[in-house]
Amino acid sequence: MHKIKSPRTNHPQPFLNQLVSIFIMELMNWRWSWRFTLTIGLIAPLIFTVMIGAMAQTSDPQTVAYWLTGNIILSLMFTNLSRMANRFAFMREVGSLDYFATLPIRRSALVAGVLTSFFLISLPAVIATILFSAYYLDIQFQIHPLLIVVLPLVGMALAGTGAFIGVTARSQDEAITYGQVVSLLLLIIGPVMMPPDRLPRAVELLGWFSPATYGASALRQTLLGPMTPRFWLDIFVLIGITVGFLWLVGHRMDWRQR
Amino acid sequence: MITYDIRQLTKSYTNQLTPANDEITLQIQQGEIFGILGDNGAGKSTLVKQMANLMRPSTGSIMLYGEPLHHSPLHVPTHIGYMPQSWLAINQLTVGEALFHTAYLRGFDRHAAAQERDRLISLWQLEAMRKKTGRDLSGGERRLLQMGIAMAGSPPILILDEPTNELSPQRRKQVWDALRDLNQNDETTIIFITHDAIEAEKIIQRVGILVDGKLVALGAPSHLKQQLNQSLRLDIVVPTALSQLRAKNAPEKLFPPTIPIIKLDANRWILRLDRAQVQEVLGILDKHAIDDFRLSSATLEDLYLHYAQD
Repeated sequence: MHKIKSPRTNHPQPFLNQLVSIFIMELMNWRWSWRFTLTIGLIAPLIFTVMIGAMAQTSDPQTVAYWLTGNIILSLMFTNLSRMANRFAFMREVGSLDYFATLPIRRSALVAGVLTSFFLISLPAVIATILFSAYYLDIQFQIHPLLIVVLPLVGMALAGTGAFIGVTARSQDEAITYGQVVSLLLLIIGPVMMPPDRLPRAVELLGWFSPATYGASALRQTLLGPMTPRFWLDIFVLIGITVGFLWLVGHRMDWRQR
Repeated sequence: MITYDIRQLTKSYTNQLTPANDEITLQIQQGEIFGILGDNGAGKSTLVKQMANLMRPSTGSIMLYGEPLHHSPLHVPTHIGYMPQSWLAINQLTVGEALFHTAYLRGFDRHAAAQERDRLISLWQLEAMRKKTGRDLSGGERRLLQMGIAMAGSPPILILDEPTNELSPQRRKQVWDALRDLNQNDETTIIFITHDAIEAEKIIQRVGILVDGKLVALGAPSHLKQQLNQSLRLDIVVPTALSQLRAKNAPEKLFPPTIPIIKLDANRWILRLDRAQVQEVLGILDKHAIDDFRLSSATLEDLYLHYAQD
């Protein structure tokens, strides 16, 4: 093979610059729809908080704790999983992936840029859910500093799942449907909204395969305490799920001769 | 210096019986303006997508500057600017933002990217649309924005899929002039697909004609046109009323059967004439019954029609 010296070229941006630029581009997209996203992200968790309030008087504190953290998972799930599935399918359909693939950027920078922008846009609804729950349900949160690690990690694990749906679905409509179905399944399988002793054994076992189970567990420990050794298992599994799905997304994405 | 070296390139889709590209072999030189002509479905976009490394060939190879496209993930993106047919890719960014971020991601620092954005806005006269998003632009304005995005960062190769679609005649001229300047001043290699063969002829240095996925002609337009045997082209435009009566006045009934006639549409016919036939045909032609006629030497469009219809 005789390699020819090519004419003028620019050096690609460092990875971090690529990531930040794509992150900003994604946030610019949100300019036109952030109110809608925020509203939709808030409605279900806030309504559910009110329902928890109505039922809390007849329920034990452990069940209320599960409802509460499940509610935060619900809020994170709407933007990071359902809308992420939609976003990647949309990018495939309209040629955005082709646009980025012809730029000298790393595929991982694109995926990370999109995921972080979605996480950021989901944060106001999550924080509002936590604050409203504290006020309305009169819950004394015992917030552990590691919450600052747990929230992004849960968001990324759910976003990775959503992105995988987006890059594998055959159309945007299919991605939206799968995103909603998977969101619903992740909420009901495993001890996310309900304590494990209230679940059928099979459903509880299935929960071991769900990122929502580990996310809800880590959130419960960092919001309500106490921290247990289980926390590190949750973190380890969430990191594994995030890395695994990001690898799968990169592997399955329509990207430069793939 | 060879930019692209394409050998025996075949691309087949699973849902199609015949390949979209069938054993295409061609080379494109550095600093060349290379046009790709062909009918809808001839495989033009499939070919350029493979050249842009967006699609993997089924068999055959493409080398860019002597290196296979897939050897290094950034080999193609550091050398090309690609303009696809669709315009939706980043339609939620404003014109200024899209140009800035593209130049930045092609390696410019922030200051240089801002200068590049301003240069391209000025070049394509998009000042009034600077703060509009892609979805708020007209079809022609979007094409110009896409041209700007492909050019942002001054890549040494431009691959353009129908750059003048949806553009007015003035804007089309502006595009061809800008591409010619870019080629002459910066030695940018320009590879483009077009249906606008007459306009494109002004800048094309070499052309490849695709028919049913096969490269049926390759060379300089002047050289290829010699194959048309010095024939002349007679364009006839008839009024709508006459075209409605075409069953009676069909060109094949008016003119001798030895003359090849191409109906471009109901009102526009093209006749390819030997020089000896010119007087006879002009004599037959009722010049009062037609809107317009024009006699000229063979054009790139004739060449394209010649291959497309054979």
